[in-house]
Amino acid sequence: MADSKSSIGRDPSLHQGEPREPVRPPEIARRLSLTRKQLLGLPLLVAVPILTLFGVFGEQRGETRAASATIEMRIHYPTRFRYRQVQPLDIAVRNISSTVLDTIDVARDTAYISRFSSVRIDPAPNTAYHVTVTHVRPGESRLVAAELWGERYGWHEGRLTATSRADTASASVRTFVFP
Amino acid sequence: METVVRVVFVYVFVWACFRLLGKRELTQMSPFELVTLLFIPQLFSRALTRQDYSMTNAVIGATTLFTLVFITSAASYRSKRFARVLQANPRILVDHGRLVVESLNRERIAPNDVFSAMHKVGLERLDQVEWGILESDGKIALIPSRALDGTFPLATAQPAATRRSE
Repeated sequence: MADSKSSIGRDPSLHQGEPREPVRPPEIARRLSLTRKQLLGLPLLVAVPILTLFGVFGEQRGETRAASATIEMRIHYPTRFRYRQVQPLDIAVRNISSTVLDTIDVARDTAYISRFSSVRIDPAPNTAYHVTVTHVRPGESRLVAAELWGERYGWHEGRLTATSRADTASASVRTFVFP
Repeated sequence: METVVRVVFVYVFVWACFRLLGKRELTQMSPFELVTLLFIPQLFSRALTRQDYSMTNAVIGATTLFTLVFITSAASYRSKRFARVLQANPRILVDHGRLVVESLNRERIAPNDVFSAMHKVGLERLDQVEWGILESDGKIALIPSRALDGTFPLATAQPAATRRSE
């Protein structure tokens, strides 16, 4: 019971000394006792924030690489992110040949890219999800960037290709959007 | 991960605020206190969600909150020391028919509140109260005095806990 000294007054209805205490409850050996449902459910409940702390439900990015005789393509893409969040998709194409490549067409698989409700691509695409970079000197890299906005949740999978003349480098990407 | 940290922070912060305000706020809210309480979710909701309106984020936030509730309840049951930190101690307001003024002042409880609680259990005079205790949950528990023959002073007056100023 908390300390409860009185301020003394002449009024007999006011307490004038240290109060005695009401009877205290008896002590028992305290231990946690859980029902079967709690034993099953509580670990699941606790697992969610713990797994989150380890980044299981967070954003994760991956990198993949593909190369042909003349083009090397490096893709940084989101492997998982959350509903209505924005994530960048960066495609770096590099001329690994000894001659200048007049055009490299970078194309994103419509089946993949159309799953994201808003896609902003830089440089601006010529046709749908199709970007052409020109006059790429030997050893030079160009970056094609896109921003993906996760509107449809679940797994989204597709291929990204970079083509110059008849030479194509291609890599597949897979992204999970959490609901 | 940040959501977990934010929910933990808000939980501890709100708990500390309630703990600082005292037991009184647990059961009785003035209009000002009610407005304050309504403001809290408004102020924190954006900070907690960070414009992340995904179900995943909501589930993480809710499970973090439920986990904290379970952990604090289990820890306060198992550890008296933790319970003392977490919960307010009961405080004696009436000791054998006399008001304990310091307790009333400390808990900001007017004698009217004590009398109101007494009236609800059919007691009209302080000398009819053996113990008046402000419990940890903010309710005033009244233990009526027994007459010499061991009966309660009023037929209707039984030991009871009553919520103040409902």
